This record gives sequence, structure tokens and C-alpha cells, in this order.
Amino acid sequence: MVVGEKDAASAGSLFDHLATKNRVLTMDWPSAAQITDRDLPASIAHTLAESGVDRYSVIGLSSGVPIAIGLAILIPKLINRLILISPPPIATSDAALYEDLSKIEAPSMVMIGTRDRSGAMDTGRLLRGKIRSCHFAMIYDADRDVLSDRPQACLIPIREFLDRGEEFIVCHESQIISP
Amino acid sequence: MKASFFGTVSYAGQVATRDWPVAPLHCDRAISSQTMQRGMEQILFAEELGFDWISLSEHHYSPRILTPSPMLFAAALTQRLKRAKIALLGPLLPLANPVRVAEELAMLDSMSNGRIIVLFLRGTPNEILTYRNNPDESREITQEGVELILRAWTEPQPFGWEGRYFNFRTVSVWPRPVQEPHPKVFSSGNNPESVRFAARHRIGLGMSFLPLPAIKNRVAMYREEAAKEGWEPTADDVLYRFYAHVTETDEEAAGNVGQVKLNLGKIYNVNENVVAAVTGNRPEMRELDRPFLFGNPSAAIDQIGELRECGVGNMDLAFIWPGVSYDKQLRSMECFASKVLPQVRGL
Repeated sequence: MVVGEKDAASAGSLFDHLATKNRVLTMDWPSAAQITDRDLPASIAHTLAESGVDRYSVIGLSSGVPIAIGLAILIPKLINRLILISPPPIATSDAALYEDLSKIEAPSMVMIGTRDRSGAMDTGRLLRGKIRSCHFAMIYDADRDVLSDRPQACLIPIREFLDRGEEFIVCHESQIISP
Repeated sequence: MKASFFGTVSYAGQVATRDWPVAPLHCDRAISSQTMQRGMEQILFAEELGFDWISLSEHHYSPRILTPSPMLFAAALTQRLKRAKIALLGPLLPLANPVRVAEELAMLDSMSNGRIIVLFLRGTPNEILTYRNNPDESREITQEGVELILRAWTEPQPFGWEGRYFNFRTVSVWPRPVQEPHPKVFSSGNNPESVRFAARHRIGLGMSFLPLPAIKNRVAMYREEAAKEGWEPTADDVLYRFYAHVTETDEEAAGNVGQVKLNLGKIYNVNENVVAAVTGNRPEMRELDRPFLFGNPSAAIDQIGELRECGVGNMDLAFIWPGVSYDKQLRSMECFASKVLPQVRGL
């Protein structure tokens, strides 16, 4: 499940990449539907349950990050992995959200470009500190649109994290140079 | 103006060849040990003379500078130097694991109670050959390494790094450096691309062996680029490394230095095509007729004045020169410290 920025050109490469091994779902809703970010997680969870999708990983892209977080808080047992890419700033006054972040059970990863000056780094640090199992991946020399700036640098860890969860920190690549 | 003594820890014996690499068979084991002790004594003498920093550099496979691992020598210095700062000018990032470099420098900063300064470099042409690095990528590798090290020193949470040249899934450096947010960092400024990098990252500018007009040009560019980034460097952000030979009279200096020239771009007994392939655009790789700082104290004061006018606030002095004996180096250090340094401190 990918939420947010689905129309961005860079998201297309992510969908294509994921679709080689996964069933990829994105949500679309009419702009006139008057659905708020707060309502969306419940609505998405309901829609997926109705569609027979019982467990899934969630990727939040930029403005979709709060919705992805909302889903992971709402139905923690159903989320395999949570990946949050270029998160927007989170209000430091949102004490309830801070409290709720600890309810996330899925292995999580926050991904941010090192040239992103939007405040995403601070959000990443906060998420790394509050979510029980959260990796904080910096994409060197990428700005806010990390998927456009350094697609391979994003897709490889995303792929490995989806496949292996927390074990993605273990390197299994052979270090033999000339057998 | 601050003065740094460049502790070259040069091999104390005579080696007939100037080849590179120099065959280990020329290395007398006892003289190596003696070299380390002499290097330490010279550095302690420099501190006693009033030098503000002691600097070390990283060079390989040759008797010219016996600190292929400057961190090791710096660790020893942390236990001997009382006051002087220890400047690692510097670790060669294409040859190293930057996270390891961050860890070792943080250790040194802790061991010295916050007296570490560092300039990250990509290495001279022969260093590129040492561990078989690609010269075409050395600048990019170094710049990515600098960014990674700065992150490793300042990030409060563990992080992963998906770089072009480095990939780490978990970085979490202990100890943190004593200096907050981190030790003073310089970046090479010999090339315009590197000047822009230093300005963009708000770090110091370190140059070596360039002629005065080039120094002036680089500093002006550094200030201009820094202004675009919204900050204003001071002379304290600018460092220049050069050779020095100061004596009571010009005649004495000329006699000591002789007619020997120093070609910084030449790697002796290495195929010319190979040398051309690893040297690239290196403005500092040129032939020097004599040390930059040269002659009697009054002449040296004038030369330093010119340097200060270019915007340099830190000078790193190497007292070695082909043919200048160790004893003459000591006398030159003494002459500089007693007759030049007091006059230029206030610049």
C-alpha cells in the first residue's frame, strides 16, 4: 500500500519496482469527498479489509506520511513494514501523536535526503526516537524528492527492507574479489 | 595569525633513492624507531617554542613522512602535549572508512580534551596509487566522506547512509567528540570545486603550496561562495601549509637550501603516463625553487604580512627541505619562533 504523492513522476519508478515482486495498491479518492487525514486511515483500513487484503506493508510518500503513520497506529497487528519517505514536519505540540507512535509495532524505516531542508531531518530523528523499531536512512545528495534525485539509492534499501525487515542491516553480499 | 608546526616525522637515516614506492629493504628498523622518538622530540620542542598547533599528515610508502597512520601518532601526542592543538591535516578519505575516521577522531578529541583540528584530503598522486583508488573519483569520494563524518559526529540518533561511494545501514558513533558540535574542520581549497564545497558546508578552507595570487583568488572565491550561503568566514577559517626556512641572514638561508628544487608533482621512477593519469588538475603539484617562507626574520615577517592580506589566519609550516639537516631545521624553528612569531601574532 502506497499513500501520498502517487501522481508524482518519481512515484512511478517506485510502483514499477515494487510491482515486480509485490501487489501494489494505491488509494484514490475524490477531492470533494471532504475526508480528512484523520479519517483516511480508518477508511483505508476498512477498504482493504473489504477487499480481502489482511496484512500489508505501507509506504508513505511525503504528504502521505501522516496517513501511513495513522494506519500503523490504528491497526498495528496488520502492518508488515512501514516505510516513511520525506516526512513533512510534525507539530511538536502534538502530544497525543507522540504517545501513539509507540504503538507502532511494524519494523519501520524513515528515508530522507541529506539536502532536504524542509525540516524532514528533525521529523526523522523524532520518529527514530519514538517508534520502537525504526531505521533512519539518509539518502546522500538527495533533496526532498529523493526518488527522483537518487532512485537506485532509495529502491535498493526499500526492496531489502520489505523483504527482510530489520535484518536488512545484515550484509550478505559476497566480499570475495576474485575467487 | 596562528602558527602550526608540521611534524613530518621524516626518516632519520639516509636513503639513496628518491623512487616511489621506496623499497622497504632501505628501511633500517632501528632508525625507524629512532625516527619516531626524534619526531616526538621535535614536536615537543615546537610546543615549547610556542607553536599554536602541531600538525600531522598521512603519506605512504616513503621515508619522507613516517606517519601513514597519523591517528596513531596523534594518540601519542595527546599524552605528551600540554597546550598545543593537534591538527590532523589530514586523513585521506578515499583510502579510509569514513565512519572509522569519525570514531578515531572523536576518540582523539576525547583523549586530548577537545584539542583536535582536522583537514580531510583526497591524497597526493602517489597516495592514489597506494591502495589503488580511482583518481577520477577521489574528490567526490572525499566530499561524500566529509558529509558522512559531519553527520556521524552530530546526529543524535543512529542512522543509515545510502551514498554513492559509502553504504552503511547503521552508524552511531561513540564517543562523541568533546568539542561541540564537532572539532574544527577544514576542507582542501586548492581547487575551485573544493572551495565551493567548503563554503557550502560552512567549514574551513585549507590550502597548500599554492603561489600567493592563487591563495588570494581562492580566499576571495571562498568568501563570495560563503556569502551566497549566508555566512561570513574569518581569517581563522583559512589555513595555508608551506615550506619554511628562516635564518638570521638571507645568505645563511640560501646556503642551507642551496639550489635544490622540489617537484611536488613528480613521482620518481613511476611511468610518466601513470603520473599524468593520477595527477589531474592539481595546481599545487608544481616545482618549487625554494621554501615559501625564506630568508631573514624581517623578510619572513613581510611574507607573512602578505599572506595575512590574502586572508590567511593559520599557517602550517614544514621546516623540511631536501638537503636541510635536522639540526638546521631546529635552528630555523627557533629563529622563527623567537624573531618572527611574536611579530606576526597580532596580525
